[in-house]
Amino acid sequence: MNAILLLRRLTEERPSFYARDEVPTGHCNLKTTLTVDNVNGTLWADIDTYTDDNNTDIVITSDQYWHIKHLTGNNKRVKLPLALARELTRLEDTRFGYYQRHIGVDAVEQISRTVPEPVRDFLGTIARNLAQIRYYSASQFTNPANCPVSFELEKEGKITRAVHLTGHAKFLFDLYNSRKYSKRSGYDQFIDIIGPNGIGLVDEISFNPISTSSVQYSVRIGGTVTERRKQKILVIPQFKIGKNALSPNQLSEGTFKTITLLFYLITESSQLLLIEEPEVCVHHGLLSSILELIKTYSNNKQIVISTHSDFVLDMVQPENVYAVTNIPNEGTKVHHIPKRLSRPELGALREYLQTEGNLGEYWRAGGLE
Amino acid sequence: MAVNIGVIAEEHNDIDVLYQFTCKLAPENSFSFSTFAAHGCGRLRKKCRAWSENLIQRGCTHLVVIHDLDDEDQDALRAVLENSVRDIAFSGRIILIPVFEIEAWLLSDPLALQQTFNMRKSPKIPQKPETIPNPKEYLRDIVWKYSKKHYINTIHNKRIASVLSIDKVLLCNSFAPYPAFVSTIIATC
Repeated sequence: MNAILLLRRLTEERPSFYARDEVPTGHCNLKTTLTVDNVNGTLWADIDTYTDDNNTDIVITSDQYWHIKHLTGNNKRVKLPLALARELTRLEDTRFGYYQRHIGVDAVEQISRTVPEPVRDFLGTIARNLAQIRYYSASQFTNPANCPVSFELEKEGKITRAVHLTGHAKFLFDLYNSRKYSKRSGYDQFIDIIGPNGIGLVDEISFNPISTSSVQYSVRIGGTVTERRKQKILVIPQFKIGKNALSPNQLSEGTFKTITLLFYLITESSQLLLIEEPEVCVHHGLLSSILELIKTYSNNKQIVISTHSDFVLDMVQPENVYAVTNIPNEGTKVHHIPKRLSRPELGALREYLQTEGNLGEYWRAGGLE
Repeated sequence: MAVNIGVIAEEHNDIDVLYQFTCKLAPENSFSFSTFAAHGCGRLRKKCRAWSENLIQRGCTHLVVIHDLDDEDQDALRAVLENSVRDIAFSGRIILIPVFEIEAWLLSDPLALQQTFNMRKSPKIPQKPETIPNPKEYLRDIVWKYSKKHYINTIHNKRIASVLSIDKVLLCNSFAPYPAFVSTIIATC
């Protein structure tokens, strides 16, 4: 998951002229092939990373080279950072990226003209898609007792307390926002799925808005005091289960995690969603439904899930499974199961699944080693 | 006294569907189910005998085994399953082999789909649903097309089965012998 997320971080990389003080704490050589409209491009990236206080890997520097013979017509590698590629194809955007801000829109346009259009479009598409990778982990939503019971909005609809919300509070805010644009956002579908017509986790979610105001005083030179009244909305979310109306921090761990997972699964518009261990804190009956939903939504977007559960393995085909192994002195290796096994081994696996047992127990018994 | 029927199937929701159908065929409180779900065809075959013996110990007098045919030969598959339970002392047993998936049975009654998913109109479905190669996907697509709702087999199969007209399912050859089997059980109890 971290390796895939690192691709997104490459699209957010600050160019070298924005000096960083951080000392690299990690180094990575990444080689990956990405496909757009049946055209393959291979990326070689030499990356230095720094892990921040939120345990997030930040790219400090990187060398990125592309091999796109189908578009360039030769084996020469193209040197183009993904962060720049992202900006080359959004020159009309009003929101400037690092390159546009530092060297100017004209300079970026000049660079853009030096890159052949098909290559620019290809890398731009890849960069935009990678920038939209989203990551869900149950650990982000652990211990619902930490969840706030309300949140505050300015009249305009912006959050007041912090620009960057995370975890439980962000989920409540996303949920509230999504409800405001329910048809477009997928909120209606989300409610249909978690409600009594679907898996029946909650009967209803409501938000009770209460208008409040506060007064802000400022003192100017000369001692003049000015008073500014700010209108705010205090939003109190409630989850109705049977006869009980509960605050979010009263939900059970499994219910809270499942609601958040399904919310982001259904409403997230990105084309690549990473889900870490959907089995955490969920009983097998509910897990079956969650996995069926993940399968359904994988028709519209690519979904990668990581798991340590043999039950989850039971519900997927070997063709969709990649084994991740940590090899001492070599690092983490990822193998596609059908490619990792020899032909007789794959035949034996298929025979086993047909007549003997499930993929999960085959793995548990060491059959995939 | 209620008859205890042992059911062995690939998935839990197959058992849920069969339970709803049995409720339509037998008087209330005349039967109960004891079950095993294999989560896959291989495990069902491997465990069929051991689970059948366990069901006898749990007081089951009759046995139902449900196994999808998929690409296999029906006679050969039936023989394998029959062999695994042949000498186990059930008063009666039946092996049901849906052609692809049990969801084909649910497609036999469009009105049940309309009612379950609040569709504006009844969906158009081929007259012989067992000829549909991937009934689960077909059902998912048709539910989305007619109701813009997501079909989740683990949740909705049971609900469709509960409102479905049992006469319509008889169009599915793989289900056809089941009502007679249930009648026999009820007659003997």
